[in-house]
Amino acid sequence: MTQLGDEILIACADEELGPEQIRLVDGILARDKPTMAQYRQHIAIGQALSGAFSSMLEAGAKQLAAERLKSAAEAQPLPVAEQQRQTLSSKKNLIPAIAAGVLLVVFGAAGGYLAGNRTGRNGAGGDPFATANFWNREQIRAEEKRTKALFRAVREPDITAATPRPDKRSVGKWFERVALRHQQDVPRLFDQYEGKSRNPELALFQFSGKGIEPAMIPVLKEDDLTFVGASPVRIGGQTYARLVYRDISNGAVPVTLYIGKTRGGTLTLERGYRDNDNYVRWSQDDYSYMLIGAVPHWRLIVLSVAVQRQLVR
Amino acid sequence: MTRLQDQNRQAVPERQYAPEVALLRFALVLAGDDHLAKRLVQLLDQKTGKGAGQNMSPSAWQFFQFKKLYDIWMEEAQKTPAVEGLFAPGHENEAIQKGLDPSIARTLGELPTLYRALLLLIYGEKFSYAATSQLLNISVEELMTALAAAQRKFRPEVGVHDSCPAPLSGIGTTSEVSHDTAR
Repeated sequence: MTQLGDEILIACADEELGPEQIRLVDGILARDKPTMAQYRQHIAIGQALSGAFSSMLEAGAKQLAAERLKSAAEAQPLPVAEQQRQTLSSKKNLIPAIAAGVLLVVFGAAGGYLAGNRTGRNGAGGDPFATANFWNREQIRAEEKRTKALFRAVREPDITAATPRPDKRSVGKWFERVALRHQQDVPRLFDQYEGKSRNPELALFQFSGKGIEPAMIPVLKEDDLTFVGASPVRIGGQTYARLVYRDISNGAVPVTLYIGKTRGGTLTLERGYRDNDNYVRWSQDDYSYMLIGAVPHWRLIVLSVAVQRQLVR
Repeated sequence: MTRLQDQNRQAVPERQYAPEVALLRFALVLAGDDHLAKRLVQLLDQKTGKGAGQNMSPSAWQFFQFKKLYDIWMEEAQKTPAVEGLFAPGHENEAIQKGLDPSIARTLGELPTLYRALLLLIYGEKFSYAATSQLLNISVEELMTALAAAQRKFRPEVGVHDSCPAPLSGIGTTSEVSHDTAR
């Protein structure tokens, strides 16, 4: 005979009862098979509903991503030359003339890369996000404002005020490092830097401390992560490489990776929350890294592992 | 934690999505219509305003948004004509498109909005009974009664699964046995 109402059995299945009540229910279930069957049925219904709602969430995320893809594709991109002009003029007070000259070269190459290498990545049809939204002038300003505020909030000497060690600053050293890391020939890398061949696996940057340092940073690849665009950004007197992605599993929200030079040493992975965004940051092998976006911390940590696997080691 | 809870809590980490995806799902379950759901979320954005929630923890902000969305729906439902929508018979394709099994969608459609909402909040969002009752402006007792009534509707849809873990296997035995059964 059933001694328990559905309400109690469901609450038990949903883990809503206290220890005392659970002991009571356990005792009844152990000796009452029909009640046990009923209890199992409640668990099955709960699991079926959880599964159904979970699929709904997944479908909703895909739909939202598709809508954002569509609106991004419909947005009118600025001409590349205009992008360069606007970006350079906004930075002219910050970057020495010589750096600006090199930046123009780098932007030319990066712009060419962004414009010319969109296909063949992330499945058929290329990258439909394009760079239209990201390169929009107002969005750049908003992004930079947000970034600066964020860096002010999390500023630490080893992240923003570091001076690269002299022996690490030369261009040759840079190429040696990159070549070693990616098992490529130094001359071939120089060719890529000069724009003679464009490797879709690499984004071009220059870091400016007291000197100019070109860098080629591999584009991070991870499930459900789509590369949007890359640009240098000046924060607290230091240049950072900024790589913007969209996280398809999270409604295609932007996730940004910042890479900057640091004094060396290792900063343990830190995580935090700021302006509705989560972030994780760490420093390793003379570079500081920060991943930030409106995605859960666990996702940022997954991405940070990918960064360490693909970019650092 | 008891063995019972230990076994029920299948330690499968659920994938997490952006908050607005979850809000849209809740709005869709309330309204049953895609267009109306988006409108509800837009209204929520308008009413909460930009920068709101900065001083709240993510979980408190999530709760606030869900509650606000439900309150907006309660207001809107008075002046919005009923829509056939996702849960109505003949809309199976729409349900599939939204990731819902048509039979579950049909059963959800037979339930009052309040019942659909509490099923989503408890089984979709994993809110506690206390939080759900607060969100839906009902007592925990009313919630439990409504939940039992809602689950009764699903009985023909979801039979007893042989593969469903026996919740009490290992009771009265040693903890080693319980570890084995819980994997």
